[in-house]
This record gives sequence, C-alpha cells and structure tokens, in this order.
Amino acid sequence: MLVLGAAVVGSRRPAAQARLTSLALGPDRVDALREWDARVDEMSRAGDLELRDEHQDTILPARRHERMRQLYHGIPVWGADVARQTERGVTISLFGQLYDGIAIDSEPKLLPEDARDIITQLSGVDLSPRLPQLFVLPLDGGGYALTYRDQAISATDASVFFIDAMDGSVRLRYNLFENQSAVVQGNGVLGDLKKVSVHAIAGTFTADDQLRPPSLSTYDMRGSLAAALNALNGVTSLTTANLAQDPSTTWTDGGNVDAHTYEGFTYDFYFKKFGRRGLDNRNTRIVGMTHPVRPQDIFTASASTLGLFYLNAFYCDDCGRDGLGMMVYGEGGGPATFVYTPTGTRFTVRNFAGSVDVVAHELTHGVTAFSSNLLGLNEAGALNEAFSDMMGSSVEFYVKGTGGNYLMGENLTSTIIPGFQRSLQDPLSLGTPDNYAIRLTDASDNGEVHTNSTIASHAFYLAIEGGTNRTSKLAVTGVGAANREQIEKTFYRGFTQLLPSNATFSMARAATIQAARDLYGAGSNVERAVTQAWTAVGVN
Amino acid sequence: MRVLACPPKGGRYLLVALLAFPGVAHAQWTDGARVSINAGIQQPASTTFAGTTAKTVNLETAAIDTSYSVPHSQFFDGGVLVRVKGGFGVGASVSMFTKSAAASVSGTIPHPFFFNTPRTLSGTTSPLERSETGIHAQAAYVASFRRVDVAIAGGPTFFRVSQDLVADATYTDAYPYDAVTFTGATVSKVSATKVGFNVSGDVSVKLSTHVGVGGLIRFSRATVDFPLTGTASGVSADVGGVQAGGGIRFYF
Repeated sequence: MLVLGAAVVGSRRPAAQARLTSLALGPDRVDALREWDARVDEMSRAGDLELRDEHQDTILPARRHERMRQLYHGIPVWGADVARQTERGVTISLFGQLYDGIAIDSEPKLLPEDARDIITQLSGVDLSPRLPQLFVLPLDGGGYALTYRDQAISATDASVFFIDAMDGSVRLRYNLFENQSAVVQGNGVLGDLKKVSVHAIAGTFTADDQLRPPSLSTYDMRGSLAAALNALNGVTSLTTANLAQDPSTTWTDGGNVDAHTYEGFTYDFYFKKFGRRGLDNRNTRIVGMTHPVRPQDIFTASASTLGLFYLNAFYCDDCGRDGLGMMVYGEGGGPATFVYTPTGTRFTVRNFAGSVDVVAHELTHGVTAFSSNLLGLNEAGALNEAFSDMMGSSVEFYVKGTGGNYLMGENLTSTIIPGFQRSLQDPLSLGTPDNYAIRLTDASDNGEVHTNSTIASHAFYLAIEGGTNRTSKLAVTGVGAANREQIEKTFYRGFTQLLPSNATFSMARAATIQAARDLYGAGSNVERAVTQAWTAVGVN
Repeated sequence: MRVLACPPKGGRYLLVALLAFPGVAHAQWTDGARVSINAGIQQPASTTFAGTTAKTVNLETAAIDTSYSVPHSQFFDGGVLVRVKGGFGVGASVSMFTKSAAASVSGTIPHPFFFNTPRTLSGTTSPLERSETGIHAQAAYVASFRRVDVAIAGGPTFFRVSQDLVADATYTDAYPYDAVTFTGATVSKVSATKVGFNVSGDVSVKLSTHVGVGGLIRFSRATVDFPLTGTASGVSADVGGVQAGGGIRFYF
C-alpha cells in the first residue's frame, strides 16, 4: 500500500509499538527526500531493505526505478516497501511505507508444515507440497507478530491466511479478491420489497452483484436507444457509469430492482437445482439492460421499436462487445399508456423486468445457447421456447414457493391477454395448442415457435402435477408438486445434455425419457410420468 | 438462639442470628483483633446467565444469544476483625475468585438475498473468564469456648467483577449463503461494581496464643449489570455465592 499525493513524512499509527512511516517525497521536498534517500541506502546496506526489482523507465529512458522491501532479521515485513525513482544516480522520488520499533523473536516455534496444516484445516484446501512463507505482520492493535502467510482458493472462498509462527493462531485472514459487496433494499415493478445485491463504490451503490460467483451486472440505459443499440452491437462497451445505481440504500426504480434481483435468482436456481454455474456452466458474465427507451417516446416509436424495446424482453446470445450475450428488458408502457387488442381489450403493460418467470425464461435462452443450442426455427424453436417456459415457471416456484404458478408473464399486463401470456397448465385457455395433433404448421413466427411451445411445456406440467390432456383426453399420473424437482432435473438433463440443435418433439420425448431413466432408473415413477405426459400431448 | 439487632449501617438494619450451644457456657472474646487467611471453594450464586446482542446484518437484525456458565472454583480470602466491645467487633475481608468456562453461542444471521430467511448459528466459545473481588465489610459477634472461637458476621459487600462477554459472533458463509459456520466470538472484557451483602460463620481453634486455624463459610450476593454494546440493557448476572474454606488465624 502506497500513500500517494501530498508529500508527508511521518504519518504514524497510534499504536505503541507498530510505527508506520509513509513516504511520498518528490523534488518539492528536496531536504526530506535527501534525508530519506540516505536512510534508504543505509537500510539497504544494513540488510533492512532488499532490492526486489530494478528496471529502466519505458517512457523516460533516463529514469530508473527500484523496488525494495523491508526486512527484519531477514524476514519480510508485510506491506512495507519502497519505490525509488532515479535519474543518472540522483533520486527523483521516494514512495513507500516502512515500519520501525520491531522487536520480536524472529525464531518461529512452528514449522512451515505446521502452519500449512492449519491453513489446510481452516480452508479445506490441500496446499502440499507448497509451504507458507514467514512474514512479520504489523498488527492493527499495535505491535508485530511473526507469522506464516499463504493463500488458499477453494470453489467457494479465496482467502489469505497469516498464522502466528509461535502459537498457530490466525493473526489475519482476508479475502484474496477485493469485495465491497453490499445489500440494499428496493421496491420492484409491483412494489414488492426485496433485497438487492450491489457494489458499494464511491458513495453510491451499483447493480454489480458482488456476492454471486459470476459477474452479474445490470445496466440502466436511461432511455437512450442509441446507446443501447451501440452496446448490443458491440460498437461501444458498457462502463461503470452505465450501471444501474442509486446512492440510497432503498432503491425505487422497479425495473432496475427486479432485473438485477431476478437475474440473481435465476443463477441461484440453476446452481442449487442442477449445480450449473451460470449460462455456460463456467460462470460467464451475465449482463442485463434496462430502460433502453423512454416511456414518453412510446407514441412516436416505430412498430419494430415498440415490439422489441417496449413490449418485449429478449436475450441476445452474441450481443455485446465480447459477444457473450445480453438480456434486454422492455420498458412496457407504464400505468397511463393503454394498449388495445384487436378485439378491443384495453390493458397496460408493465416493465418486463417485473416478472421473474420472464427474466428466467430469457436467461434460459442463454443456457440453451451454451448447451444444446436449439435452433430458433420450427420444432427445435418451439422446444427452445418450451424449455425457457419450463425453467421460467420453475424459477418462479423456486422464488415464490407455493405462490408460484404455471402462467408465464402474468405480471406483465393489467389483465391476462392470450398471446402475451402462455399457460403451461391449460394452453388452450390462452389460445395455444396442448397437443401435437393441433400444432400450427405455418411459417409465421419462425414456424410458430412460441405458439407450439406449449405442447412440450404442457407435457412438463402434466409430468409434475398430473391431469388430463384436454385434446387427447388421456390422463397422466404426475410425480406431484412435492417432487417437482425430479421433473425439473429430468427436463433440464434432456434439453441441455441430450438434445441436438435441430431436435424434434419426438426427440425431446426420447431424450427426457432417457434422462428420467438415467436419474431415477428404468420403470421409475418419473419415467412413467414423463412417458405418459408426452403421450398425452400427442408426441410419440 | 439469640437474635441481635445491630446498629444501623447505611440506613439498613442487619440481623445477625447467633447459634448458641445450649448448656455450654462461653467466655468473652478477649483478643484485640485477629487476622484470617483462607482458601477454599466458591459455589457461585448462579452457575449460569445469558445475554443477547443484536446488530444489523443484510438489512435485518442478527441476534446472538450466549449462555454463560460459571463453575465452582477456588477462592482466596484475607481479612481482619477488630474487637469493639465485649464480643462485638467490626472487620473487613477481601476475597477473590477467578474461573474460566466456555459459553454456548446460538443466533440467527439474515440471508443476503431474502428477507425473513435467517440462517442459524451455533457454537462454543473459547474459555471466558469471570473474576470477582469482594470486599466484605462486617459487623461480628464472637463467642469463645476455651480455645475455640465462633464468629458470626454480616454486612455489605462491595463487588468488583470483570467478565468476558460475547459481543459478537464471527462466522463464515459462502455462496449460496444458505448456511453459516461459526468460527469464533468477539469477546469484550467488561467490568462492573455493585454493592451486595454477606453473612458468614467462622470457627477457629487456637493452637497458641497468637496462631490458630479455622474454617469459614460465607454467603454473599449481588446482581450486576454488565454494560455491553449491542444490548439494550447490558447483561445481568448474579455474583458472589457460597464460599467454604479454611485457613490460618493470627490473634493480637
């Protein structure tokens, strides 16, 4: 740690023993610079400073730079080092921190192996054959301790340990990766209060989740469609300034609150249910984009802008400068903007981030893109949409418990609108097919991928809850809501591990039955429920 | 049995019950003063007490409940008793008691992602020290039976108590943060003073004119409120207890 800025000599800790001197000396403090330059030389000769690095300045060729670390009886003092800049042998600047008043026994009572064993026990990480290094640790409360230092990185933690070399106690443990996580609260689109995992930075909180393993960020485009398009197309990069943010610990922008929170819940669902680490199972970053347009522009927006950025949410799997995908949440129309169906039904549309099943649905397209990569056309496209609906509904149950349902996007509008929402439980009630025999075969919507999706998603519903298919009249014995996870795992396995990209409904049936056998055995209740469900929806 | 009403001290009356030995005549206490040094076992007034601290974690209240125990242990005591008139005297003694015992910690830590989804915490601390010093002011009556003195005494006790208290619990958690693991406790050593009372009985046998041996039993008690950050009204504990021991006596 270097203290930069004002030229200060003698910034000291209040502790009685551990005395810290901070150096930030330049030509403007030439007397102090000369004095400390001589002292540094003296310390080097006495072996209290060790040269760690010396190199030529790459920008100012006449300049050289030295880095020295402080030693006590040959043992490095943690956090104590000096950087000296010279030109033709004349010192130009000195920056660094040095400790004095060190008077401790420098002979450790513990062997490095003992300290390593302690760290292994604390972290669960086998560090052999590496051995921790001795350091003199300045203590916060004053004084110093002879310690062994090493770091241990596990799947869930990355910590640096300082083990007292005399008694084996933990003198200091800190996270290897700087983490200024914070939790604020916010009201979602529906006004519900929830916790939001954010990043505390420079007096504000940004929608940059520091608690979950992947980078999970939500960017507020503040109504700039041009900026949104540039970011989606990779023309520009999104920066910290674009992050949704609020200096208050109570956030009031419902779209930002819900987008950021529901992205996190979706990540949690996949991790806790399937052990999956994010969209690509390698914790690829998750980026959400809110407010791509201004609510007041809705009346002048083109039809395509209206359909894409107001009344829609989508996952673009190769958007962004890095091509790793982005979520975009449509702005909706707000409470004062009415939308009319062709039959004259009037309704309002909320921000699309406000529906957890919709957020999960869209992010699941990312999961699909990184796994089976189901095409967006015809039956493969319908299976793609169906899988997103299945997982969207499952995430809603994960978040809301028994308060979840099989209606997709019910929170988006002021009244349920066929075509806007889909029902996994009773597709016909919202105008989509519940059986392969009545599927649509026209070319609209890439082969009616959204409409036909309910054939497969209804099979998912029947395998869980059981019931009778309205078209075939065939009954299914489901595994029961209490065993929902069995069907979730079965369909997840079938759709992400077994299906090819150009899958058909028939393949989906075979793949999920195989997944049921893999997970629960041939002849299991799960296999029976899945088989019955596909048969009931007319897929053989 | 004779019941004596001693002069008021500090606005209080102290009743001293003297068990006389029926049919055994006793002589006047004639020593000017005596010094006693004792060691023995103290059974604390309360062997358990509890405290709760609270703080805000993840926007909700995290509560840490600690159950402390105070086992019996050795005490050391020294005092002087000066005869005032007849068998009556006044004196003071100082007793010290120190014992360490682990405490049980339990609590709830709010979840970082969800409201009303606390994670439970439990563990045991390293030994926590209780240290009591009691200054026992006494009014006494001493009856002598040849070489045997029987003393009954009582009065206020000025307690000075220090106690290691759990101010916070440390824990680790990791994604998905559904559980926490207790790693230790942040301990504060706090001190408090309180005035209580003591009553005691002492039987001593003179081995020579100036030296003897004797036994002591004393009961003292007060309720102390330890100040502790994170609590509404501190942590309350009974101090003192029954002290039983013996030692040497010097007569003057």
